Amino acid sequence: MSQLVCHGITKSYGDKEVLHGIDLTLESGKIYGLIGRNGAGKTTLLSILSNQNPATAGAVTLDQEPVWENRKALDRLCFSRELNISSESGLGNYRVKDYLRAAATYYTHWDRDLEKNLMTTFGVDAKKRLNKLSKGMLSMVTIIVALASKAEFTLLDEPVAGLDVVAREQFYRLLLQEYTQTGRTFVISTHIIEEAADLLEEVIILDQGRVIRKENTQELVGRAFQVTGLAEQVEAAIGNLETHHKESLGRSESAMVFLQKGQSIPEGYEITVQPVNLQKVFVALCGGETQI
Amino acid sequence: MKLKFWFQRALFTLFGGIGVGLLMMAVTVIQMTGERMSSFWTRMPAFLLLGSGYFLLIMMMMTYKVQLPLAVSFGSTRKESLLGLQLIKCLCAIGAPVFVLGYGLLFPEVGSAYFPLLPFYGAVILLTGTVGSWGGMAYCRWGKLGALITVLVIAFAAMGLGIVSALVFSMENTHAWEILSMSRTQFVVLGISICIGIYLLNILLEARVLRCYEVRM
Repeated sequence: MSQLVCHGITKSYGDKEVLHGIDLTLESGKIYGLIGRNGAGKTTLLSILSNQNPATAGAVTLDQEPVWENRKALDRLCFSRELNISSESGLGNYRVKDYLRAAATYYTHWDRDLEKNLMTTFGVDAKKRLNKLSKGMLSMVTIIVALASKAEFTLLDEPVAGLDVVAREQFYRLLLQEYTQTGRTFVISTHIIEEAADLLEEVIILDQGRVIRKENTQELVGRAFQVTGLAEQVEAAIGNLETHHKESLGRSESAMVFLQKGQSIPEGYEITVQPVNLQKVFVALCGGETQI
Repeated sequence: MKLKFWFQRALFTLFGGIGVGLLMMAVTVIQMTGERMSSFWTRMPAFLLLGSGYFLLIMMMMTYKVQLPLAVSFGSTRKESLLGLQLIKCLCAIGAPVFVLGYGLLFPEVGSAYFPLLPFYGAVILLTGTVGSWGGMAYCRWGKLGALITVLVIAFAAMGLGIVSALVFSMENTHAWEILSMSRTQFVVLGISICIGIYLLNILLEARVLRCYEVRM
């Protein structure tokens, strides 16, 4: 089994440290979700993982070999960036077909047939210039690069940004199809958490430059519960349990608890216990506490 | 090493430069009357070399802005990119004089006069590519301010190129080397050495800039 590993990755811009000693192991054959708030460091982390940006400290290895400036390792990686075509960007003058042709020269296992199929599926006009494409269309181009690259480890930065719901569904289906056919590893950073939750085998939650959770998605969601009731009842019930994101509304309180193996929420209290979804878990972990 | 992308870029720059030269020539020929037309064909290589120089200058700046981030984002190593940048400059520095050589061999009566100075022209084209790199690096380092510096670099480079061209193309009459108390050969060798020296120093500068290069798209 191949492993893409971060060893104590730190990234600073001037005095500002945006990633703080990240240790992370990505195993082959999984779909990972990288989620975090804006500015959490997701794109920076993906850039460092794929040799696009240097780390200030630490190293990235792929099967014990350093990724930095290593042709052999880079042949197994693809990071399809979110395209932000500004008026200043010279890239805007590229036609879609030229952009994809440039990609094809670098990715060793580039699949031209898949590229053509995806162009048809998404209805992207190959002759159009990138600066004439909508945000959604640009996302489609990045998805085409990611899937057609056939790279063993494929990283996607906000692939569904700007896509309508039909195109998003198409993307999830294509991703799953590619995953089941090839067993490639995908790391997807996204803000549309709940939609993608079913796809993600593991979720990595990044908060203020630190990985605060890396866990199997179902297990993480399965051990998280929303406890609601009168504040004193909730406080007594949750006792020593791992608690996040307490919300108070008058005398009522709501808290998210994470149960460890063998733990349970004690009975005998006037509280409501509800299962939660991944988005709620994310908000609980990254959203802080609220008092109304 | 994956240099296909860069090789394509180098060919585009070479043929684009030749195209610009031909365009400049076409604009000139429209304004010419019958008598001056006879000297036109002897000037054609000069147009090709000037066109190549200017186009390379612009393309090197564009390459830093567009192709470099694109290549690195697609998995090019910085070392490959550094080599790619040199490939563009060197292919143009060799290719344009080779075109002139071909022209001279086909039409010796109008083109062979350029033969002795072809290496010098190649070196000057290499220098213009180097100046273009400075503009590109300024953009990478300082962004918008870099772009402003780039415009100034273009202005000065164009001025410099004009002066050098004027000196070189009218060399037979002015004997510029005599002003410097040199033989013509010494003058040419000195010019080539300076251009190549600056180019080699620039490779070190480019390597330094690329070593910690970050993709911004």
